[in-house]
Amino acid sequence: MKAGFFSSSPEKNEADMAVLYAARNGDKHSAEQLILALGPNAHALAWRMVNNTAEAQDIVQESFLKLFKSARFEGRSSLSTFFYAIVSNACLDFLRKKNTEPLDEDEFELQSFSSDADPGHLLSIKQQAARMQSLLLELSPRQRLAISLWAYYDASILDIARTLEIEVNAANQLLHRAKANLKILLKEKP
Amino acid sequence: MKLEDDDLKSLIRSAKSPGLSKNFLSSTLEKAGFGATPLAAVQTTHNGHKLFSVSQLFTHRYSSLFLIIAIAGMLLLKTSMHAEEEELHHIDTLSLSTLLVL
Repeated sequence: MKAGFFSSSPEKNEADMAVLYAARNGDKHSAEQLILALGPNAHALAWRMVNNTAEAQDIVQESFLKLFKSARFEGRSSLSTFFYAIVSNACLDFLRKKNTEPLDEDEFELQSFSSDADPGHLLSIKQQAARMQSLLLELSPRQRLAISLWAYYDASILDIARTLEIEVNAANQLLHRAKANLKILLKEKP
Repeated sequence: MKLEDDDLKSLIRSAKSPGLSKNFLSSTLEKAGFGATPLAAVQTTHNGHKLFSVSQLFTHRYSSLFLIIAIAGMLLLKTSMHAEEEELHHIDTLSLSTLLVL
């Protein structure tokens, strides 16, 4: 359910806040609900940023601990935007400390792909995914984050600005540069 | 050929990402403090009533009592062994002192 992932309304934000507070008060079911709803997309985003499944998983896990224990959510944006901001900052911190490694094609375990699929087609999808990931990795971390939010999660400029905690104009410019750079890379490295 | 934004989005979306590991949910819940009830807590509860376990003797609450009983026991044992070798009237004196300690 990627489309509308950033959708927000006062009622939805209030409901999200109630689930979060229940989890913070020790309600395991509410915590599970949040992990199942936010975890997969957050992991996909973190993986696109750090290019390593285990490290992406650690980042998302740490982000959940922060969400449950210390992060202050006031319901001004949707909970997903708020959580993505935590994950995004954790990814940027991680990348500041460590250089990204070359892409490993074996990292791909396509969940949506049935086991009886044509191996040739599967290889082609893996290669295509690996190529796109390697091109995205050539962008700066912030550009990569902005274009990933826009492309994979239909995030608006406002969502990107809130997630990256920057001005709307800056988010607009960042996304514009990311798109332009990726288009150049796609032409240069067909 | 000029690449439109929508085409770019479709192209990026075609690149799938790996999924979360199967134990992600349980390990995150555990790290966040939502893990299963500790075994010790389960064992010391029966039908809602707390049961007394030997391990509780070593807790702060019972440690001093346990220590006194242990020392008294050792003294009694020493007394009885000593009494077999020495005169029997020592038993009365030492036993009395042990009882006073208790």
